[in-house]
Amino acid sequence: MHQTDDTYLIEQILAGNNRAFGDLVDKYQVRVFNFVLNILRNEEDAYEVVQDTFLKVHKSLNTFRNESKLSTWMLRIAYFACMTRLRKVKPNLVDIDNHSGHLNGNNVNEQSELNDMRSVLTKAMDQLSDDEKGIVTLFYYNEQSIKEICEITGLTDSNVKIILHRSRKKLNQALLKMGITEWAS
Amino acid sequence: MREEQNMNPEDQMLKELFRQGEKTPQAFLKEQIMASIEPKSTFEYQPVISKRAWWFIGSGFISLMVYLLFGYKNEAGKPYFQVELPSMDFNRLNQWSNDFTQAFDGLSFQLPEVPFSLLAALSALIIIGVSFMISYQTRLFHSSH
Repeated sequence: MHQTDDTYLIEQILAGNNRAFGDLVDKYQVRVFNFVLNILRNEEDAYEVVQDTFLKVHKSLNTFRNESKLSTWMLRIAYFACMTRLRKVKPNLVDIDNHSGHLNGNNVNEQSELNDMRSVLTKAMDQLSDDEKGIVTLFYYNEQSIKEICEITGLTDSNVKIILHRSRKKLNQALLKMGITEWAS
Repeated sequence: MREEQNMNPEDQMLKELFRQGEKTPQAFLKEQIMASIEPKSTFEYQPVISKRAWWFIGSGFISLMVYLLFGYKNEAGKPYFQVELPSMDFNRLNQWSNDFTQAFDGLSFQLPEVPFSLLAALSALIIIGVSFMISYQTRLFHSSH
């Protein structure tokens, strides 16, 4: 169903239907935006990269061969756009030890500051390298399989698994430092 | 798609962290994307007079000019354009400027007696020619931008 929807959208876009492209943007912009934002950690840059990604998708859609999912193909474009952007401008890393010292509590809801999940995520992600951020986001947020992550990043299966294992460890340590051991829904 | 049941508690916690940390992009993102893919103005100017007609008008104009310059003679046997070139004397170089002025004193350009209809046709052709050149230049300008 999901794939069929995408196939229909692709056909419509290639036929020159801009409204169909609008539907495609509606469908994927949140996922692509959060993926990019988690890697770049700068909203302004994220907006630019997401815009560039969708423009590239629109321009190159005729080269999409349905060998992978459309989302995987789009995330691959976004991933390389992020890496290019990071090579140009290296963002300032936040020292989590200095920023999270005052945050304590066994449950997220116990601390009002920690209620902002975005800032918790950002602080935890600061512990990761650019590659790690991308892979972790692809796995946990975009729900891509190891195989799909390999397609997107161009890394080998074992490399992705190692990076994922290392990133998971770092994230859990960071969350522990913030006093987060469980989530309240 | 991975089943959540197969994920360990750590994975589930991280997945929840990403899910709850999701940020919704602002509406202008889509607007900007859509504005970027909208085709630029596709308005094309259609010429009122076809290329073939312009060739016809152009060749008619040139033929008329050639005829008026070399073939036309009125009842008195005078040509259409009668230009009398002055006799110029450039030998006296020391008095060049004076002589130059004097040299052109004898220049005279006499318009012949022409029927009004011929003059009107000639004027129309000149106007059409000039407007064609302007439109051609305008088209060149738009195509280069």
